[in-house]
Amino acid sequence: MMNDIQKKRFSDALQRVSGDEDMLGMLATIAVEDAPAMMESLESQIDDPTLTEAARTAHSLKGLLSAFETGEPISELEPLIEAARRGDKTEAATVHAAIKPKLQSLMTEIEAIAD
Amino acid sequence: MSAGIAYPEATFKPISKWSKSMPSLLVIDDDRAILALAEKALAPIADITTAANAADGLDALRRGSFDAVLLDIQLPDQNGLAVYCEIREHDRRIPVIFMTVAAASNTAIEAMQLGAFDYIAKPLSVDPLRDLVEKAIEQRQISSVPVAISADDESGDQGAELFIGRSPAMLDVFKAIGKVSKQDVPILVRGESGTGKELVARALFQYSHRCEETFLAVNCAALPDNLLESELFGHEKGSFTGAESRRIGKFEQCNGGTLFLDEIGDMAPTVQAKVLRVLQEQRFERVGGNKELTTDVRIIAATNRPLEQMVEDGEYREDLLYRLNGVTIELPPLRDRLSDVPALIRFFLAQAKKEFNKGDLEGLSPESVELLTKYDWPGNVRQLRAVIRRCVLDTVMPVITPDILPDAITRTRPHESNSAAESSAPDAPGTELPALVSRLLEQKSTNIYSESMEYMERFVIMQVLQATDGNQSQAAEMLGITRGKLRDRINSYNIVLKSDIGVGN
Repeated sequence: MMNDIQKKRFSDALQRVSGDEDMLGMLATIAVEDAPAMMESLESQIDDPTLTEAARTAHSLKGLLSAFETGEPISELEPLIEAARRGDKTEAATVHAAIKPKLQSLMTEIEAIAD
Repeated sequence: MSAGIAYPEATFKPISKWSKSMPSLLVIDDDRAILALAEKALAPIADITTAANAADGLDALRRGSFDAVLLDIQLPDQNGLAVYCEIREHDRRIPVIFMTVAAASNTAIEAMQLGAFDYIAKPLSVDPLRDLVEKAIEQRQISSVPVAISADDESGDQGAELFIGRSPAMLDVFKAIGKVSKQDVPILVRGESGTGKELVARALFQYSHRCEETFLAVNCAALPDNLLESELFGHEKGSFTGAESRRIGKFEQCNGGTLFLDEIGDMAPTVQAKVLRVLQEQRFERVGGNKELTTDVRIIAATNRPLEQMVEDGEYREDLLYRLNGVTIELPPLRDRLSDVPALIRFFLAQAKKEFNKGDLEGLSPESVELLTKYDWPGNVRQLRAVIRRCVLDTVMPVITPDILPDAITRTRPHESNSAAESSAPDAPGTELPALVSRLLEQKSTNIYSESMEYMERFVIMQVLQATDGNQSQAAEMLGITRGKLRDRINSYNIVLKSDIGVGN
């Protein structure tokens, strides 16, 4: 069960699932299982650089985590995707460095509501 | 399964709101969370099959039989648009809903132009998703369930929706469908509510040269004027508050196909003008756009409103009426073809027996059939079907006897008014709804929703007319309906406009 703080934090997400905490918990479990590997891949794809793959991974990550948050840091994945699609490694790396801690912080919050 | 206990095989198959076996939905997305959400959120309305990539999705599609597809725009192994084209090649009538991260995705717009059903933005919200999937499944049923025409109820493809009737009036309808279905002319279907206007439209589509193309239906009365215009013609980004992206309208989406415009009488003058232009020139512009688009759409329209009277009253364009009225098919009310009632009873009874798994049910007693054949059926065939279904559900005996029939049928003399709303006291506005619902429940009415809504609608309209001192323009604006619709309701509910609003006897 989510506590009041979590309900407030994820109020938009809860609204999207019609207030079904179980469903949000199930989505959180999937995010906790899938997102860390995606974040790892994203980092190495930017480092390599294999930017087409990086754009695709960032897009998938955005899709996965937007169930919980549509504002920052998820919205900041868009400039990263665009930079990667343009082949601009410097910009992609800069954006990535800026949002990485925020993504990790979001993941901690998501993990707390996972089943 | 527990050891030592044998469970019988389930005989109950979930039934959808469309009274068929559970519809099936294919969801193709590489995001596990989307697949899980769809499976959980849509389980009450459809059997869900999921695929995590295009290859698996197309494979499932070819092996299965689906009523709709929910498709991610960006898949790991193939572009969503290419997948959509393969789906179309497999079955042009499967409604495909695209899921996209960006609401304004150009690919989604392109897909809509090619005939995709709709698109929905991620993150998915459960309620709008469910509504959209329900609409898609309904669309699938409308365009795919065959409409068989029969003057003989014994020819029963139970999977088809059957037009039954051997009365002269119905034979004329069948002949008209046969004559005009293959001609590319607009058709106007007229008839009271519940007579089967949509079935005529579907039959016309299915017997036409365009039967392999898209068939879309729009209920013009269900949307406010500005939304109807956008629904039909689409809109450009920023053309009005809330227009966050370009939207493709039904005329564009249905290019090459058939568009069924139900309740065509409920259209604002601006929309009437645009529809007329499409009928005349097959051209239009999206709302807020200046690019002229062309389309090749066959229009089948339906109404139960007096369009000629509306033309006289200045509420409907005469030129549009004549364009629509090229060929008119008039559906008779059931009371004018009571000789068809026994055949309809047999057909609906067979359907309901199968659906509710009542194999022991033998039929109706002669007294029941006689009562049903004498009733005047204000709700027409739709009401008859509902009554039969209710009887089949209620009965515990092998024969349906008069005591199972709704009181309205056993007690009301033919041609007597059956509307409970009409009999409610006008001097107690709005207070009688609970009593009305209780009474209808007691009477085992099969029309509770409609009668309650009627009561409520009359109450709301009277209150607003009182608030505007009988000013219909103001009242229509406040109610959010067209003046034409308001006038129609005033007439239907016999509301007399005086200095103070009253209800005529």
